[in-house]
Amino acid sequence: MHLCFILETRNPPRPNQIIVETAALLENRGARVSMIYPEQELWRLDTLRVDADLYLLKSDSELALSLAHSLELLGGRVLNPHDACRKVKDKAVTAALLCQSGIPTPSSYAAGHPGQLEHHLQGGALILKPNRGYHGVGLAIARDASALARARDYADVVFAQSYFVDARKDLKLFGIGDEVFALRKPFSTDSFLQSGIPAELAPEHEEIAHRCAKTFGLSLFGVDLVEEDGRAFVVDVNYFPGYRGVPNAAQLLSSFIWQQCGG
Amino acid sequence: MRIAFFMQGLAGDRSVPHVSTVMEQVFGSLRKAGAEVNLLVAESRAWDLAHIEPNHDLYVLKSKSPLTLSLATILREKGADIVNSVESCRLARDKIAAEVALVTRNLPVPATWTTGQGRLLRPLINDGALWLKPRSGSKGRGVARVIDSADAAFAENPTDHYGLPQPLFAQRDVPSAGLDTKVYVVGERHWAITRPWPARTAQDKQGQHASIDADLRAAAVACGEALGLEIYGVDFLIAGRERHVVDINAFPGFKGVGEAAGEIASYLLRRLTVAAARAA
Repeated sequence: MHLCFILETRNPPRPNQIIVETAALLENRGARVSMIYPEQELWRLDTLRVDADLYLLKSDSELALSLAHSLELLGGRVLNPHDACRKVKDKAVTAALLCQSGIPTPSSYAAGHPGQLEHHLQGGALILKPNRGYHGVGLAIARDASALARARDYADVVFAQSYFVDARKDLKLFGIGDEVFALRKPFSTDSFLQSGIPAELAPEHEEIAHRCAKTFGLSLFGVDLVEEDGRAFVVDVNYFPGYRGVPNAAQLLSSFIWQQCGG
Repeated sequence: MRIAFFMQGLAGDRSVPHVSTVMEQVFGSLRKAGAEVNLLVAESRAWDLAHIEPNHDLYVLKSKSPLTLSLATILREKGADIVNSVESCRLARDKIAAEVALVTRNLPVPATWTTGQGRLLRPLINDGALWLKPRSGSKGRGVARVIDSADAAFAENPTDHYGLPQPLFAQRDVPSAGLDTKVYVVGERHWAITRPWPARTAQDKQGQHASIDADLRAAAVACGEALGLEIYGVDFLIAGRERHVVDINAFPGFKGVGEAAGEIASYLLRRLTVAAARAA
């Protein structure tokens, strides 16, 4: 059994400790585990072959997504599937599908440039994001039209959500198959590298997590929530998050992945 | 019957659709046949994402801009009928995955590489020239032929507007008679033209009509099937009996193909009639 993690390049390129432990546990079960950093390698596409029984997509980069798609076209199996990952990488699509599924999410908009959003400021402040951004790049909060005018130039598409100024913004849900965990982790530019603190999982939040997973076809996923007046709203959905702070994350991940391989 | 076309906006005013002569004729034919034709430019306004619903029998993706594809994905998820399909347009825009899709059909493609590190491509130059292309580029923008190992492209680790990593895409230079052969397909109809690359003048873009043999037709159709396209163009480089697929475009401009507008209109009218009947 060959399992291959497709990882995001960091400087230096190394996986997070939970992935290292997960790989070790899978090897203990008898799997051969490899790790690839797509940006660090040269890929010959016309002779590309599937050489793993399961690929685990743990990178948001465009090359990683293209490679995952390519491997699926060649008959390979990718967890989470490429199409599910593409959907949640597109914040406009994510917001629309959350609405369609009746999952609470802030009012959301997509536009060619920030100035087109002025009318939607009548409902309050907006948080602007690059439609396909990740790790918090390019975020800006606009409270008035002048802030929209000052907003940085968004390439191609600007995504905007109603910004709940006074909401609590540190609740994150992590899913591994059917199991869901809640953590508290304040947002910062490097919060995706930080551990969260385990929190009690409210039944309504667990239900939101399951509905998100079903809507997008994800089995390894994260959901970011904001809470206001006793209600929770989904502001982001991620595939294969870092799981930092989830108790026994490596054990749970390795068991789930092994199960996916028929183990 | 209602049909909506997602169009690119004009360079100077993105809210105004850019309409070519071919597309003007397509719209005219569809209207004459009784269809209500609406033109949408995704970038012309803000979209409330909770309220995007299909309200046309058929959508046509002439534009493949990121916002167009996002909106089309939402419409598709809500049951809209779309030509070309969103999946096929995304695949055609992703040269990496598209290349692999062609390989799965044993189609002739040049040796092709991708990476995030320009330096990893440098040794390849020892075996001949390379073409560097943007992963999601179109209309030849950003395409460069590289022949020198000292080329600045080999020092690049490309990133996007936000500093996030982007792939490099490189293809081995393959022999050609000095011209691109473009095969255009609309459903069952095919045409071929040859034209210089890059096409600089209006006359260049019109190209010259070329004959299309059974093998070339079969290869073009297989390319469309590999990507799931209905209306498309395939660019070949041909030298004697050797031919390579070097690009595929979903719903190209069809310049130089006089019959194209009528055939596109007929094809879309058939699709529209079926879609409208299904909706009814």
